Amino acid sequence: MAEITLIEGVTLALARAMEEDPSVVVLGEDVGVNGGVFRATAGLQQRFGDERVLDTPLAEVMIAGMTVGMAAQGMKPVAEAQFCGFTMPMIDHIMCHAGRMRNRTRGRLSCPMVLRFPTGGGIHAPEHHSESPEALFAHMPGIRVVMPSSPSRAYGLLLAAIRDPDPVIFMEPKRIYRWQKEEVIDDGEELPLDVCFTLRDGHDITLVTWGAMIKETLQAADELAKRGVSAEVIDVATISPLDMDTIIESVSRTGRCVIVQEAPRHCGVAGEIAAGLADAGIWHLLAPVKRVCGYDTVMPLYRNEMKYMPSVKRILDAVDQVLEIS
Amino acid sequence: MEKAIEAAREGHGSFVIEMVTYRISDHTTADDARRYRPNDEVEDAWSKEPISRLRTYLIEQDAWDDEREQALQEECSATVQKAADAYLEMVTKDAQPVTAMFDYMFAELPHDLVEQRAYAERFPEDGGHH
Repeated sequence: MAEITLIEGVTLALARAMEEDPSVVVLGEDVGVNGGVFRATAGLQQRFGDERVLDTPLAEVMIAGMTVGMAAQGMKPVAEAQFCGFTMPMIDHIMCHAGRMRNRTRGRLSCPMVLRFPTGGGIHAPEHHSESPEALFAHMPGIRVVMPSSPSRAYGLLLAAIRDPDPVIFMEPKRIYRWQKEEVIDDGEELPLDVCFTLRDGHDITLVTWGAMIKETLQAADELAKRGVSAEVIDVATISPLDMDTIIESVSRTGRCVIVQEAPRHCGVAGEIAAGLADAGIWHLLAPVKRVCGYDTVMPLYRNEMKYMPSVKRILDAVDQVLEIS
Repeated sequence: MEKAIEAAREGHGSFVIEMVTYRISDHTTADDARRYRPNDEVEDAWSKEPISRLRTYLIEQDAWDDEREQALQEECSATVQKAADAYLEMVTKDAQPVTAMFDYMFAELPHDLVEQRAYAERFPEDGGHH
């Protein structure tokens, strides 16, 4: 069994879903002949034909509208936006139609679509290519937001997202598209949506994160281990709805929590997790909950983009503050 | 185009001119356009490439020659090199500090960003590893 990257996990899941369900179609800019700007759809058009892998015009509003329409009429479209910044014109269709279809029609219609796109910074891309807009989508009722952080979770969660009867925003952390290789068995087994994954057990502090920040957070946990501090690392994976139970259960054992998020801090997902802890987890906490986030600025261009994003040093700084309080 | 300009200037209203162009090179350094377009299409576009056509035309008109072409190329290369050197000098000797991302967010930096800017100053050289 070959080891594959996160983006190859995406390709494998798309092929599997298309194989098992003829109503699954893939659409987007350059997804067909070119195989996707990051090669996520490589080989799919050759295998499944140009009626199921559609190269669309450069028109995001139309892609989103077509996707919602196809989904409402019984198909299972998986649309690609080439970069997170290009989803902004799609928001009308996602928020005002995809998320409302089931409720608006009192269950007569649904919208089983997936919109997938690369998210986050760190690849030296120009403006509008490096943002982390998960909180924007997580704020929309009726929409699931999922972000994998490993090849196997990309495969298992994308399969679950495609099979899910409701709309899913599937955000792929492009900085770690090719970071790790992992053995993934193409057996069609999905992973559960709506739950966090505990990547590492620990008893002194809980580190909660998602997407590409998994990398720095695991490195920080390694550093802490050298100092004799045992950190539990949780990958949120499904941003919306949020699985607070797993996080609170962990904090009930560690008493301390630092949340790491690449996106701007203000009104971000880290704040939502902190609110959940302030509510149902307050009696377990031995110290304040800290957030390590991107700044509330425009994502800087590439020479400064890594200064924007939480580093191992910044994570350790927050952890130190939390551990100091006894 | 000439007709449209003339007509517009004579007060006959505006025109929309559709220009069909061809992107000869790859979209980005990460793109390999050979994957999705045939080579003869690109070769055909090169045969219609306006700068080389202008060169051929000027040479035929006796208004241009290899010597002048080479001199112009050298002049242009020097200009580009100068700009590249200035850029490299700036980013090595006078790199933007971590606080630069806060400079143009608002006319006056709001209190939450003042706080974040001060925090960022504690991590001036952080990151840089992709």
